Amino acid sequence: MNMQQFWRRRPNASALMLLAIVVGSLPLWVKSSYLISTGIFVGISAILTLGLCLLMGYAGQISLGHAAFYGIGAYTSAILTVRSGLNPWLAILIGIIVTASAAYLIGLFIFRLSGHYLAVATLGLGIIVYLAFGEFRELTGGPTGLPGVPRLAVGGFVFDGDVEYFYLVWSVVIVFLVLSLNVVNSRVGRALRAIHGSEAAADSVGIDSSRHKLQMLVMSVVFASVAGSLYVHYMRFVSPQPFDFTASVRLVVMAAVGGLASVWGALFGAAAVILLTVVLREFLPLVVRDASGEHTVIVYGIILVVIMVLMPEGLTVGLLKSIRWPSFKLKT
Amino acid sequence: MHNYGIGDYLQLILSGISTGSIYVLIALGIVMIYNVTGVINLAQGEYTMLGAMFAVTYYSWRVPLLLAFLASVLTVTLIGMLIERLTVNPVRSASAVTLIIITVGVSITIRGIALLVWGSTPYFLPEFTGGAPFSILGAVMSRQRLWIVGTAGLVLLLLYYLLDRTLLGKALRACAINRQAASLMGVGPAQMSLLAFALSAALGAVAGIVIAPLTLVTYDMGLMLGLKGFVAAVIGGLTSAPGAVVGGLLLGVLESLSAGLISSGLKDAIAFLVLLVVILALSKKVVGRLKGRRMTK
Amino acid sequence: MAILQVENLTKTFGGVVALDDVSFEVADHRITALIGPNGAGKTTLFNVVAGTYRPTRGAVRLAGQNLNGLQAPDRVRLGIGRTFQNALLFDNMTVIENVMVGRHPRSRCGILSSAFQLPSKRREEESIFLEAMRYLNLVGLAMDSNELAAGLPFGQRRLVAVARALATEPRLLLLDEPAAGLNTMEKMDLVVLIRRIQEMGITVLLVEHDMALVMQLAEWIIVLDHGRKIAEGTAEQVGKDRKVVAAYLGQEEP
Repeated sequence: MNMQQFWRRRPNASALMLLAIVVGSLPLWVKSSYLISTGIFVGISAILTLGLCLLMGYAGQISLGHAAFYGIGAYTSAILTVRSGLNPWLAILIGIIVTASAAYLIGLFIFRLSGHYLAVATLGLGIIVYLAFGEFRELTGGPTGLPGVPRLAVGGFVFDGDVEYFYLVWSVVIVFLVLSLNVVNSRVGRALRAIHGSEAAADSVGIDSSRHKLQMLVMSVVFASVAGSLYVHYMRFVSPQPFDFTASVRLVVMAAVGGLASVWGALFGAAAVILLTVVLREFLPLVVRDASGEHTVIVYGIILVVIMVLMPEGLTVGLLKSIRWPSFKLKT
Repeated sequence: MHNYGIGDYLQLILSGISTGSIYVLIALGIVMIYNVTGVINLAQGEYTMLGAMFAVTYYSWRVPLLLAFLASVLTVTLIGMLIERLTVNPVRSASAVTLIIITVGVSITIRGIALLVWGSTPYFLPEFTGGAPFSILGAVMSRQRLWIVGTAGLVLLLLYYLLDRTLLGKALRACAINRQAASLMGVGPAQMSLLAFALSAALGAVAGIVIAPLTLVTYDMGLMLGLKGFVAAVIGGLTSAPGAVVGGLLLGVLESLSAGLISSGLKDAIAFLVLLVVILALSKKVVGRLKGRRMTK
Repeated sequence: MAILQVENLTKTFGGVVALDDVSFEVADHRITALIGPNGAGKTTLFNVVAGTYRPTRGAVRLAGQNLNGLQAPDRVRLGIGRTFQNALLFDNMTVIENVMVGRHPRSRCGILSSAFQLPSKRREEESIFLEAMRYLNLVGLAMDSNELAAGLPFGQRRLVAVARALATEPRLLLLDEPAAGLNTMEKMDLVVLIRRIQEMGITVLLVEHDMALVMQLAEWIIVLDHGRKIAEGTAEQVGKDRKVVAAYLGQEEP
């Protein structure tokens, strides 16, 4: 086998092109503003889930508090643009630096822990950050939030309407997908999979586990921060509510549904969960009287349990295995 | 900063002890399940909520309070066993991540079903005995707090008796210490797992019923309680029952003191701050123990 | 010059003394064998040399450099490679990927150059791939490069592990019971392979129970029993040593 054959086994390039075409043409035949808006949330969630899959699937670290980084990115953008009138793009960059540094410091301590303790620590951190968002009123606007976040603009062009924002978000999704795929199919990606396979053996070939896990943490957190910034510049408002423990759980659901160690799975998981939520919100009231959006929560829970019990590698792998996709390899 | 008298401090500490007792019960449930099955049950708080809810429901059907209490504990115990059979038993060999996610899923599902069945309006349970709040040395406390501490104490005694003096309890402990050896001795891990879940559900339910009169009973009251009970268990080392007792009481008192003396907004945050401090402090020891030979010794 | 110097090495686990004041040298380019009855502390010694365990007392030197305090991954970079008794392959990857991981300490591309697919990354990936194929060829498994490691038969798993360790370009290769579970044919191939490794300039230190293999290959033998070194020398010298015989027969030394 030569190098060409080795690389040709990657269907990623074609999949990316397909995605770009689908996403690019979507606003042309979907006119409903509600659906476009949903598409924006799918995109933002995809970015978040992508980061989480890299962290949980490749670096093998559980995070039950990922929404905190999402929130820090969001609040940094909001606070800097609203209170200091800073250029939004600069604020996004600062958000990235803040979250990355915080994650790096946290990672230094937290990666000494394993399994359960790590999960619990991330849970605790997530909740503390969420509570902090509500506590420091002068800075964050407290529980009622901070309105007046400006729109994003490049030169004279303002990302005003839903369609423009949809394209913006999905461009970011595609860029991050490419970056993730590049990292996964590289020396770093192999090192991570090695750590996952056997830490003892990874040590024996000179892989510094902590360093790589830390790098993945920082990468996943940068994704979350950007997602947060995109979120606030769309909603033009920030409050603590979307960054609570339930939000972190929802992210884990999306990652689990898609398949933890799968880049494409992250996209699929985010889309599946959000679309399901939307569908349930429309149809559940017809089946169960007095049902509200809160009742979709039950379905989250049931899905989560069913999937983890029956298909722990996630829906992507589970489904593909069940239709007996022949050359499917878990390397996506 | 106004002057606090002995009475104020005492009040904070005593109310902290009573809240702490709740955390102790929840923490014990978590420790038990973890010891016997290795699962971290993040859904533990939901048993507390269910206990309170069922008690309220039975009481509203004009069942006398004591019977409602027992019936509720029984109901929740059965639910706990059902959950074990459905979600934990089939995947006992799954990875830690998978198991934790499953318990999170269970917790969400229970909360959602509770919302469906009972709605989002808060419910009330009367105090077990009527009467004016009593006072000790200037500290004024509701009588229910005595019930809380008393019930918790009684439950602890019963638990101790069960674990230490009965064959079943010893089997449970054996399983917790060494699952393989226990199964070789004829103790079935599946039955022990079921028993552990049953007992934990019961403990949680008791906690919920006993605190119900002092708080609003809502479908989502279990989340925070469960998480805090969890923190208490971790403070105690996650595998130790006496540790859970210390952890729960300590957490309750810390919470009460900081809420009273510093800021009430801090109340929820305290638990998690303590959690982080404890985890970091334990981390070297913990990593060494959990990772065993992997760590450079 | 000795590539490896073990000086007064002691390792205790709680009350158990796994290694007791062990000292020996491994000469450069020689094939040295570490033998002894079960529980003698051979794998423990490997673990200390490789950096997985920290010694309670004593030192390990690689080409004169004291390794104390250096973690396992750092020692790999300095030139210590090892295999494990049960291969410890990355079952979640293919054979070629397993060996490519072995190139990790000799390659550099990090997250940024990988993420942005810089030309330096592409070049390095190509070289990693080619080098990995070379090592697979050396152990004779180039044909199975795309197989998932999990599906390989036992003997082949061993070979992949050796290829992976070789890919780290070690100066000293620690082989932990490479012949265990192999049939006669495979053992013959193993002898040839180890001699080839020696020709490549790599010093081999192996732990082995198969005495015939040891006698055939080893130019120097060190014997451990209950954590202590009880003998060392050529195959002939060690074979005649009464202490060694006693240790294997389980008798008390007279």
